[in-house]
Amino acid sequence: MTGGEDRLRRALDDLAPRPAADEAALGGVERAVARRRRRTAVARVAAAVALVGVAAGGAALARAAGGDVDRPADVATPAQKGGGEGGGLSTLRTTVPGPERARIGNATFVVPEGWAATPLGSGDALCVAPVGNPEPRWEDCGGLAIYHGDLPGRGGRPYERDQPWSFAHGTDAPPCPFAAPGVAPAADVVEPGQTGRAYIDGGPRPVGDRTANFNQWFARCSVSHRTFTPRAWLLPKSRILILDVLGQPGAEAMLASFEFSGAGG
Amino acid sequence: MVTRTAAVAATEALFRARYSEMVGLAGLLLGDRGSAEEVVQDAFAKFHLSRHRITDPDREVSYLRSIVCNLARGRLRRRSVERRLRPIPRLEVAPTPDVATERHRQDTVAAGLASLPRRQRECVVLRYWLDLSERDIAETLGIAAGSVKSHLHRGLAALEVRLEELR
Repeated sequence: MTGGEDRLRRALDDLAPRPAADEAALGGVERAVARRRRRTAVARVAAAVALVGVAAGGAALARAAGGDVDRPADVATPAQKGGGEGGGLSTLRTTVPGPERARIGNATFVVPEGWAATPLGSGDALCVAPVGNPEPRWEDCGGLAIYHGDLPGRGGRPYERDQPWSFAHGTDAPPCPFAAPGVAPAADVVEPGQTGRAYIDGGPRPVGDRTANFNQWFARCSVSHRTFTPRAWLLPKSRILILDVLGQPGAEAMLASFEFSGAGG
Repeated sequence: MVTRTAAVAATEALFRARYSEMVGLAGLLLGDRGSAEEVVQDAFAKFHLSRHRITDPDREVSYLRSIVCNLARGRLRRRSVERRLRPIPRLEVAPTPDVATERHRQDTVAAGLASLPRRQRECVVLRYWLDLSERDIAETLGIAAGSVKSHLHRGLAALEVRLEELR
């Protein structure tokens, strides 16, 4: 053994952290087990739905599988059932089951309590909204619309960041999402406000531990004069677009809960 | 009352025996204690959920070590360049001269380790901190024993230059 090797051994010994294997650390392992089980459960449900969709030839089911859906309430993870292979470290203690997570693309996120994630449209997309998807709705979604893969933009074109009104996907003026008393929905349409169609805010914003391209626009209903400020977060590498057109109060918490696997952003 | 299964008991026993060592390994690979603890806790979780695949109980530690190395590698890959090797947190109080010297020594070693290519760093830490044989290192990292020898030779040569400065 050389003197250099000896010195290196001592130096590494000094440098290496040595935390105790205490209860706090064991709690971290238990949480990691629960996280991994949740991911597995969501993937299994998605795979099962995809299989059913292919077998039945049902386009709607296939869409659901492609977009990935939230875990049905009656599908519990092995940890929640207190069984399964090995019993799970979490069975050693009293633990509270984690919140429901939905998956889209390479991301999972927490579905707020009382909300549900359901397939949206014909592509790989989810509508995350209060259960029942109540009014007001924008393009059939009363909450956040999350797209993966081919991301829709203005007038049916692919989504482009920093462009006017990229949150409206039709070619005609969209109907006002807020019902105005005594006004036919077709007559009350959304029009650009005084600031025009250009976005009013933009730049990098966090989504989970990634950074998204953020845009916000100003919109106004032509008859009722209701105003709203649609927001969009684009994760180009993960090919995910999150739209919050009507301004959901819980949007930030949901965005913060995003977890990504693999490279992306 | 929850039944304590044999698998849970075995994983917990391994955790009690090896957690500190595995965090040391991950800490030297990542240069960051916080990330090291996260990686090792996740490694134990992965180990626990896949331990039914291990047919030879004598290989449990080797398997766990491989998971730690793989997860640490993935963590490094995801880090942006500027965050790649954060210093291990030091004492927050004003250092005495002795402490300052010791800190300089640790910083020099940490910087030397951080400057090594990934494979060299892994081989050096497994060899000179965990005292693994070249064969065990090869098995842990899934590479040829000859490659381990080469990585060790180069890594040690690079680090010796730094360690000389501290003599």
